[in-house]
Amino acid sequence: MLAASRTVYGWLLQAYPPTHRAEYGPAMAQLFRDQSDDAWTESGGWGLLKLWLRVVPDLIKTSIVERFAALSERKSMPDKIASLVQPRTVFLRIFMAVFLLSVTLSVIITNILPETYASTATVRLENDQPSKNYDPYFIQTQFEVIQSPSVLNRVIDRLKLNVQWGKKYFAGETLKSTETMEILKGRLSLRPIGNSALVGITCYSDDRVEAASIANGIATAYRDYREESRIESGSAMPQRALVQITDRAEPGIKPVRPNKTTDVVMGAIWGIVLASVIGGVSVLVVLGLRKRRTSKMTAG
Amino acid sequence: MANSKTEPEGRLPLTPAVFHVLLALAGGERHGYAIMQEVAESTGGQIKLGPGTLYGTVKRLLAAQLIEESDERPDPHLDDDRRRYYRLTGVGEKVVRAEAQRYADIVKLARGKKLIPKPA
Repeated sequence: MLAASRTVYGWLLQAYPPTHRAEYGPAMAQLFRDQSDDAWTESGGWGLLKLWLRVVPDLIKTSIVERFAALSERKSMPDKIASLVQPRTVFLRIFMAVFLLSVTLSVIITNILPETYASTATVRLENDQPSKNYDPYFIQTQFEVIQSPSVLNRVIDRLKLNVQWGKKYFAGETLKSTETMEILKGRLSLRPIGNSALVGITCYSDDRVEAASIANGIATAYRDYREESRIESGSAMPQRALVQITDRAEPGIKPVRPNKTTDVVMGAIWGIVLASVIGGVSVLVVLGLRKRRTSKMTAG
Repeated sequence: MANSKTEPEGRLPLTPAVFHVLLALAGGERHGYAIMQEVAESTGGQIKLGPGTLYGTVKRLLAAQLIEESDERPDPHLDDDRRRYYRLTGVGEKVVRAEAQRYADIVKLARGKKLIPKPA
């Protein structure tokens, strides 16, 4: 990863004008090597990603500044300027540089991002008051119940998530249930399936087995909660269970994120948009410079 | 009448990147990575110079003769002898002093208006 980052940065130095590259290219590459070593030692892949997020805007901004500085330094060579500042050439060069940068960055980011797996358990919901009229908010109400502390605290206790996530993400420090619940909610997605009484409980995790066990844990905890509530309220036993787990979650085979193909395609699309805008602005600047030069020559 | 560009005050105000690079070199000659580290440390991590900004600034400071490249190279056993070291010139030192004084005057003004507390 480190070696790939350095190689990519070496290529990106092409964005600078040749004179600047010849004078400072090796020193810039060395500084990037030092910075990437520090970032890697400090936080691994995440540190490297943060470094790239700082370095890329710096590279885009300063390479444009140096390109224009190089152009203005050559004002004494009219023929060379004429060939260099052709708007079409400027646009194509800047467009290609920004486009390649965007695609390269999306490839790097999609390879650095941690993989996320998703697993879905499906449950069938029954209203515990079937005699009542149709309740249009029944599913939404049950979504809130599933995400309530009454259900999620059971999952946290049964799967010992305070300890497990404390070990995994907080250097062994046991988490409070409220903290674990916030993390759990962030990894939970609920979705009605079509026009039916079925609901998908999806859980995301960097561990495929954990994603499945949490999704199943939530489905089971929710079922238990509804059954206990019914017994407590003393309502008559219905013929069917209030919550039926129709499909248990299985560990995913492939990660759902990052979707490398989609990310790279999106990077390319954004690259085209960004490259067109920056290329267009550069052409306007070049035309402005040419106009100023023509005015000066006319005045002279 | 003195040319404003030849007087240190004529070159002020400096951009934050330029000022911090000159400040880092006020502590002695340094190579690019050491300048970047010094700036990050002295600003509590608020300013982290990228390679492009650092060497663009170095290039302009060399052109303005505020800094110069040092001929001395470190002992290859202690450091990479390919590193390029930079130091302040006499003019560079005057300019960074003038800029620091300008900031000091601003701080004094702000204290006078009770925008920041007086030192204990």
